[in-house]
Amino acid sequence: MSDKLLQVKNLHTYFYTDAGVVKAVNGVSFDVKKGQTIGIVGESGCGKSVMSLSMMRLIQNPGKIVDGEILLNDTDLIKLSQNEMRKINGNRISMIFQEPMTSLNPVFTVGNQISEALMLHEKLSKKEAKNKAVELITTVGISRPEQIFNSYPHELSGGMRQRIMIAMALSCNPELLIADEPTTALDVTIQAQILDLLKDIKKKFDMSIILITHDLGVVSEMADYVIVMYAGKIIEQGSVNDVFLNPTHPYTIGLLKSKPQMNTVSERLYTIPGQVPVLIDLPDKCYFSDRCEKCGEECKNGFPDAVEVEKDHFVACKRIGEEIK
Amino acid sequence: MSDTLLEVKDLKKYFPIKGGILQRTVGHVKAVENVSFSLKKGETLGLVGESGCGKSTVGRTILRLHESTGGQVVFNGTDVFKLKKSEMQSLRPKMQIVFQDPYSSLNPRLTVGDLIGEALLEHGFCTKKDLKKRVLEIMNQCGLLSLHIDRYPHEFSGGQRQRIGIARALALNPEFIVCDEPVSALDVSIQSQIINLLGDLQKQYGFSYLFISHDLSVVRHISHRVAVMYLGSIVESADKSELYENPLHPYTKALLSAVPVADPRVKKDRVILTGDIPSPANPPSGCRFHTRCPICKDICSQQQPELKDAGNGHMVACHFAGESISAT
Repeated sequence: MSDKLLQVKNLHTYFYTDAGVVKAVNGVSFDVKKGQTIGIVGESGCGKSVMSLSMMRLIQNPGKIVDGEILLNDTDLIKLSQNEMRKINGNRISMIFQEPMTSLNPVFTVGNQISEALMLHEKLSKKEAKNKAVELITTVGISRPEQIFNSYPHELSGGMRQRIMIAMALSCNPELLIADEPTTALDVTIQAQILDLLKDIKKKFDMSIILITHDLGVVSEMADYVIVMYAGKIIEQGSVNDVFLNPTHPYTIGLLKSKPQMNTVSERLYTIPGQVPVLIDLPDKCYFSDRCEKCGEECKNGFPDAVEVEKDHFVACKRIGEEIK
Repeated sequence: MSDTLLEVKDLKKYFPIKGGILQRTVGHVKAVENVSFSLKKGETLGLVGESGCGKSTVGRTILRLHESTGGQVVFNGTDVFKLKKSEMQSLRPKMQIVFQDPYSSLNPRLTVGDLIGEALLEHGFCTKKDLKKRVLEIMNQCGLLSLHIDRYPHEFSGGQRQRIGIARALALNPEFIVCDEPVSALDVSIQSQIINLLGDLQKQYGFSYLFISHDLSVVRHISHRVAVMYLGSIVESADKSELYENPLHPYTKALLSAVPVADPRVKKDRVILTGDIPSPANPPSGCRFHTRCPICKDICSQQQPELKDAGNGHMVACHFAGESISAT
């Protein structure tokens, strides 16, 4: 059991809104092993970002973690007080966000922002923190680190800002890095640079990464293990080869088929009919059943449990292997 | 060449940079510089490039949503830039645009029926009496239900809003539609629905599309020909299969290799470009790509390469077109 860094067990995060209870994360369980990269994919609104925020305990009113356990090396993060949690965030777990523009503070220099975490968590003096920050800026592949240390976020390009975010996240040698859509706002050539950097630092710092994205290509390239989410539930999880080469849940199959590919050309794209359901008052049935081509009577009765179809490859579907009607 | 619908020659668009107390022009952002291409009836030209390369500006300048700085656009034999305002008005129905962001491009205070019907009445395409029937017909074609006619844009999801945007463009029986990143804001499963819709409409009505996108896999799917832009100029253009299978410009090669493929078996020799795109206000001398080019030589920083035919209409602007670039 020692190789498991993080265990998420039966996590439920709900938002209590005027329109009703939004079950954004609805019973999610998975493990992150040491040195593993986990890719979480899903469309907008499937709860992947809320899950990552839950892991950092950053859910705010009207949201609430109502049930479940998040074990980081056997410490349950949900039971910790705010003060104890602050010692973990940015230190043992850190996060990079999608929008490098809005997640950096515009009125402080980037050097200031990187050293802040170092002085708080590592108790370094101002001077030591600066040296460490300059070193970090070099690590993330920025030349002229001294100069960049004194610049403000608006003076940097999107790719550079994302590198600064990564430098900040790395500052206290975290065991787990949560990257929420880290390259979505970037151009492909810059995206390639950042993904390359993430691979490098993962090796160098020996950490685990949870990579959240809607881009199937990015996941297939980066992740060892893939989790597919739909409407707040995990509907399929397995190693990257299992999920991409032998997708079993109809949603995963549909998602992979509907993405235009670089290496194959088809006349017409496959489409999944309809759209993602609203997460309020979901009926007790498979949430995908309305859009599913394989849907049968049993699908209308209760959400299916995950079944292990191969070793470490779990699928939540009652009609696995059945032909499309 | 009667089947050529649109001919763009040496299109230029500079945006002035104002500075100082008197707001004098202190420089120019050369967003588009000498872009030329032609578009046949029923054809789709994909225009790809990274953010800030001027691809959207090309689309908008052709429609005169921006006034051009120089160059010529000939649409069906008429020189678009020489038209008076009233003449332009009567040409507008023939040239339409679908915008990227379906959230900000629809007026939140108009119902779907008004949004689509507005232009029909304005251009006298139908009378008030027939309006509803015609609007419903168009909505049906775009996959919207008739009960949606009295709803407001905020009641729809992103994919459906994009359908409204397409319905608006479609309403006026255009011949040419600029699609400015129409699927970038959408999820994968919705994206494929919209791409198929655009394809179906093209088959049915024979539209020509200028499809602007940064997503190379989407462009490959929908286009017949593809042009790649970098810092305001086209660096390579060719038929789709030729460009994707045999790219000649080092930028195109890098761009293609940077796209992640959703197949863990594919291990690619990736060419990773260093640095960022230079500012178009102060572009590099010579070949604009030379600051990031892996095969840059002395001549590249001195002389700007021209767009030359490398055979079979495969145009490329590089001194060393086709030379292999080592993967890093």
